[in-house]
Formats: sequence, C-alpha cells, structure tokens
Amino acid sequence: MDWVIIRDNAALLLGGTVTTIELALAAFLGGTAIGLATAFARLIAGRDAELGLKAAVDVVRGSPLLVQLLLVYLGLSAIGLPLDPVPAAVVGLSINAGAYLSEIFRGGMAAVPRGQTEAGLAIGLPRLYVLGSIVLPQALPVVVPAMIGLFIGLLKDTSLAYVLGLLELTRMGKNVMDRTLQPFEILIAVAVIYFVLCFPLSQLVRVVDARMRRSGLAQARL
Amino acid sequence: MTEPGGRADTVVSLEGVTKFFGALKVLDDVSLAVGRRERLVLIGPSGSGKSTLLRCVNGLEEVSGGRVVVDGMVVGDPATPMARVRAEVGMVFQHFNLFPHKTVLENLTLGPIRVLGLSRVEAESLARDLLSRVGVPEKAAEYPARLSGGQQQRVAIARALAMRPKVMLFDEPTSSLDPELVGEVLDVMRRLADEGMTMMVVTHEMAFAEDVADRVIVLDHGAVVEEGPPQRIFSNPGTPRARAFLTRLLARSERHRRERS
Repeated sequence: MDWVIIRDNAALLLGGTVTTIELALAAFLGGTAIGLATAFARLIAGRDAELGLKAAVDVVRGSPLLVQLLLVYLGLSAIGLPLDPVPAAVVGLSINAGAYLSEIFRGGMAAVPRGQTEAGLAIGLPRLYVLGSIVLPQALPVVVPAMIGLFIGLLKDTSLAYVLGLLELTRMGKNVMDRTLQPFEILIAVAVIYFVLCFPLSQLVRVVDARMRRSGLAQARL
Repeated sequence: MTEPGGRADTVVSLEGVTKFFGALKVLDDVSLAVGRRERLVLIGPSGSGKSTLLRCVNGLEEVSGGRVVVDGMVVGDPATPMARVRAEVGMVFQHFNLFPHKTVLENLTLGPIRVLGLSRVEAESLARDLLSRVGVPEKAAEYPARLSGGQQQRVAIARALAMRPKVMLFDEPTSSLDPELVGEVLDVMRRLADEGMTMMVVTHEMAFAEDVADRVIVLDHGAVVEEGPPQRIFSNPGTPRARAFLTRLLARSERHRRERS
C-alpha cells in the first residue's frame, strides 16, 4: 500500500472532481428545465401529445444511460451533428435526468388536490399559471427531496461520461492509474471522493424531508 | 332564440345541454335561464348532475351537446376567451379550495391582479373591503390552514367576489362544514342575495332554499323534473321521485335545525 501516491496526484484528482461537479450541476439544470417542460406539457396537452411524451419518457427511462451518451456523442456526429465531449455529456445527462425529473414533477403535481387547479381556473387564471404558481409550489414538499435524491444519482452517473474521454473524476483516476500502475489506492480514493460528495446530500434529503413535512405547507395539503 | 342568452336580463342560459362522462349521461337536454338578480337553488339526489351543471356554467366541464351562454358569451366558444367567462362567474366549492401556500389576502388579490389587471394597492383595498363584508377582516395576513372551515368558506366567497362577478355559483358550500359553522356561511350568502347578486346554489339546506330562492329546480338523472317557487316545490311536488327525495331532505333538514337550536 502506498498512499503517498494519492497526495502526489491530489491536484489532478481534485481537478477531476471539479469537472464531475460541474457536469452534474449542468445536467441537473438542463434536466430540471426538460423535466418541468415535459411535465407541464403532459398535464396541459391533449391526449395524443400526452401519449407521445409518455412514450419518450419511457424510452429514456428504459434504456441505459451509457447507450444514450454514446448515441448523443457518436450517433449525432454520424448524422452530421458532431458535439464535443463536454456538450455531448451535458446533453445526454440532461435528457436522462429530465426524463426522471419530469416524472418527479408530474407525480408531485398530480398529488395536489384537483380542487386547487379548479379554484385557480375558476378565477380566470391561465392553466400554465395555475400549474406553475398554485400547483407546483404545493408539490414542493414531495418534489424537493426527490430532486436532491436524483442529483445524488446524477453525481455518480457522470462517471459514465468517462467513455466520451471527458476528464471527470473517474477518467482522471484512470489516467493517474495508468501512469502510476497503482489501481487499488487510486480507485479507493476516487470512490471516497464520490462518497464525500454524495453522503452529505443524502443526509440533506432527510433533513429537508422532515422539515417540509412539519411545515404548514405539507399539512395544509392533507 | 335569436341572440345568445335571449332576453337582455338573462345572465346565464343553458340551451339543450347534454353532458356525458364516457357512456354515462350526466346531463340530459337541460334548458334553463337565470335572470339578473335571480336566486336559483338546484336540488336533487346525489349523482343527479347538479354539480356538473354548475361546472358547465364556468367551463370547468365541457358540454357534450347544446350550449351555455353567460352574459352573451358562449362558454367554450374559441371566440370567447375562457378567462373572460370565468372572471364574470364566481364559484364557491364544497371543499373551499383556498390556496394553502398563500395568505388570505393573497388568495383574494391573485385574480384581480393577474386577470383583471388591478394594481396591488387597488386589489388589496378591494380585498380588505370584502374580508370585512364576510366578517373576517382580521384574518388578512393568516394562512388558510389557521382558519376554521366556516372562515375558510367565507374567505372563498370573498375570493370569488373579488373578481366582481355577474353571477355566483355555489357548489354545496356548506356540505363539508361542521354543523355549528353552517350558519355563518349561510348568513353571508343571504346577505349577498339581499344585495341583489345573481346566484345559482346547489345545496341540501332546505331552510335556506325556502328563504332565499326565487326558484327551485329539482334534477334527477340529469334532467329537470321539477321547477318552481320553493313554497310550491316543497309543499306539493309533482313527481313521486321528487316527492320521495324532498321528504327525505326536509326531514333531515328539520332534524338539523332542531339539533342546532
């Protein structure tokens, strides 16, 4: 065991960690936008559009993220839409996260009593406004903890961007490993870094969940 | 009928309205007209289509056949913005449906600001005025969860009034209230009736119907089976089904009155 190797390569590993965090944040933002748009569209759209969107969400959720990343990176370039690794990874991860987030939003909003939507419509508010300003805020006690949970998954899933040659934490670890030929120490270090990023967030889910349940918002929904 | 709504003093008219939920016919060729300042009470057994009828008036339900005209506007017609119809039709729900994440004041100002384009100052002064009228001026800054059911329903009435509607729909406004809170809500509704508001009320409160209604309509299986002034409907219903239904309802209402006093 030679743990000095970690210290010697700490700067590289930290650099990879920063890339991982940036990637996860970018995909989380992109996924939130995609997820909100999809959820709203499904709640407002007619039957045909709803079925189409549901099918799209099911396909994304029902196929491996790795395949989706390769499809965005290699597949798109094959049909004349080449993307650099970073944008490709962000797009692929955003679409994937968006599919899951849309279900989180839709499920959360569907749990808000229907009378809330009707009361909003009855005073003449537009449907989109009712969803965004009346229904969505009441769904937050359910939605926010689930979103943090999804972000944890996303942080770990960014390791798949490895295959696009992107120097995120896992790829950086691999490079250091190839040079130093000490896979055990390096991989342990990489795993510990992921854990250090994720564990506090999983604790945060508990705190947020408990707080939101106690708050008047969650009670008033019952 | 040549122009939508017929007579100039008709606020709401239903013309041959039919409504299906899947294969189930909930409204069966219903035609009726509600005049300005008229107080119409709709009664009937559960599942008779009373609530659905109200919900067709402000477009919460789309009619399957026939049409609904509100103040000359055909509801659901692409040429009539739904927001305009809904701004003219106030609705009060059985379960109040106040927005729990907004204060009482915000509940009242949301529509006037967003839909009618009032300034915040105007909307708030209108809202405080209405809260006084329904007897809860001190609750403006509270969240709905801190109010009793009766107070919540009075705020809900104020929220609907804040849109300055031409007609108010009440969908069993006291049915989910504890018996001791029913009176305060009915009092507000009585006052509204006295002030000349056009009202369509679905209720099981027979004493209220008797005092306030100009006309009572009995629905059964989605069709109007009785129609007339409350005194006649309650004392001498024409059809056996209406008779059976009213007997049950009047007995219950009598029991409630005894319990309350």
